[in-house]
Amino acid sequence: MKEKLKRINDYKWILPKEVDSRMKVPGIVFVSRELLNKTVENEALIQVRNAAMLPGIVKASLAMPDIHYGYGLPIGGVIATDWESGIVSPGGVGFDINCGVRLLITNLYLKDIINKKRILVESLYQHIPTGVGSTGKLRLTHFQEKEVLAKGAKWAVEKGFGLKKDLEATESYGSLEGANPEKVSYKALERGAQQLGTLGSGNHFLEIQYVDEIYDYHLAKIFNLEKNKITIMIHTGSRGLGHQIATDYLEVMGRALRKYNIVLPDRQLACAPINSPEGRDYISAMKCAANYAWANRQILMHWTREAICKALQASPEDLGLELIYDHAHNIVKKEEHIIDGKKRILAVHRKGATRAFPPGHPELPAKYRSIGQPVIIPGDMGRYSYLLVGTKEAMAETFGSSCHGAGRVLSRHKAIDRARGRSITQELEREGILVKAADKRTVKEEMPEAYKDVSMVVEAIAGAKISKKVARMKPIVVIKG
Amino acid sequence: MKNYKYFSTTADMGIEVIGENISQIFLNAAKGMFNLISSPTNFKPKQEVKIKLKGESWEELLFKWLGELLFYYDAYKIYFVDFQIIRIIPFEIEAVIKGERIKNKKVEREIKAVTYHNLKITQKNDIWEAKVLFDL
Repeated sequence: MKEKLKRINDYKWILPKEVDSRMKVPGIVFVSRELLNKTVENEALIQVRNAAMLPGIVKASLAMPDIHYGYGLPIGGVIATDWESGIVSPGGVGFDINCGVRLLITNLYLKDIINKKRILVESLYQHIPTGVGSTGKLRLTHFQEKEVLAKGAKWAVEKGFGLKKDLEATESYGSLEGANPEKVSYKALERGAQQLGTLGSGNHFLEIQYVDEIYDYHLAKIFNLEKNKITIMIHTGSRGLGHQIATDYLEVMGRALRKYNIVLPDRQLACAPINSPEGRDYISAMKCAANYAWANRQILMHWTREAICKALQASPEDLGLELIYDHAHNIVKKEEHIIDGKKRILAVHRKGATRAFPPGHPELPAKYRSIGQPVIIPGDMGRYSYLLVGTKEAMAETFGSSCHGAGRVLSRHKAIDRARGRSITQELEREGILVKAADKRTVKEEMPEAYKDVSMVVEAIAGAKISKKVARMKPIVVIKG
Repeated sequence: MKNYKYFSTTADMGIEVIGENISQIFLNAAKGMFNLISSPTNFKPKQEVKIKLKGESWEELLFKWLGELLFYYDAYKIYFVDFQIIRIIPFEIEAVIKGERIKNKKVEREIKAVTYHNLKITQKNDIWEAKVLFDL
């Protein structure tokens, strides 16, 4: 499939519609030649092609520079369908609905904590439930859980987990309207009841970082970022609740394919018209999972504040922990876009892709309306993460979307092979990064070499002008599940 | 010979299962999935759950079967080690599964979900084969 890509410019490649008669639109892949040659698998491009066959797809099946082989849509995939006549596909969102990232700023500088990393990592590990199958400190009845599903991060703030102003700095204010808990199964509620306020495992993490490079001083000042300032990043999603909702609706959509005579090359892309009982029910349930994930990250932010205050014997005022932004990278949203000069309402599916709205967009909070939406791109635990902002080019080219991270380059098996005979934890400690995880295997599977260099991915999105670089952060304390 | 083996994609992992009949496919897929989560030697068959499922194809039934096991594992933190298939006909399964609460025992890997991506069950002569990709 790679040989069928045609170069448009240094960061944009097209997979023409003529490649396969079933494609309704072309594929467009935003990558540099280096990323394309070194990291993009043929299977991932087949998935770009498959998504281009979805009924009602608009403009193109897109892939961001961190594209890699997933299931259904590739990771880094973005597609949009017409809200009236198009379909919605749970496989275009993924199982971890509203997996996302949250970036926090503090009053601290590197010098304040450089000798306190050990006490910080222990305190965070004690306060933040992590690990495979972790259950939290909260136990919800189904009645309480349904309130979380309906209200999202707002529920968490009402219960004392953080401040009202945190909601201003959260995509969709941390709560999607139209979330209907009655469309969520008993099984999903059972899985979610004990997992609110947990980090999970795999690539989910909590990191203390410092700002090591500023690219745009004007924008950095608006975010209160300066060199050596301490930031915190939280990466997690909707846990078992979201996984179960996606599983439940994958079955529903499988039956819908026959009902609506939809033929697809991959059952994982199963879909239904948005304007159908199946489509409406999935969107209502998906919104519940998105709200749960926002509540989850809000609660984890609150416990992070407590953990750091305790470790440093500081007051919340001394710490000054504030939310820069929180956004989803696995979600489908109803959005207005201009297509061929006309306003259209679309269902934008982002699977391993971040919303990146430009300056002036009405959905942005007042404090960011003049500069564009913050775009947080986490890297691996040994190198960097980035803060960028959305651009008008993203709105025109990618339905206002950007990439979501470095993207894996080694399978878990290969990572473990590569780590044999090495202590990744000690190697990272020598680099000044203290890691604590429930299991050594997780650290090996998640080793820095298992990921692309996020800098290459960020260069590609900056080169394609779909986001603008603000600052780079380097990790110093990492907790993983 | 092991009746399942693992394969990797860049981000995820899956299992390829073989068996002499469909019942062995369901049994071996269940064992393979739990072996990916942790070693079965750490757990005993202390608690049992009865499972009864229907599908519209063997593939759909396998998706539902593994999804059901994953639900009990994740919701109630029970690791299953013993799978007795009482009855399996096209496309229905009845089984009794036994396992033990995880509590503080070692669990190595989280499986978020069973995917439908390239899921297939084939039969050639007397050998059945299945392939399932998990979202990790």
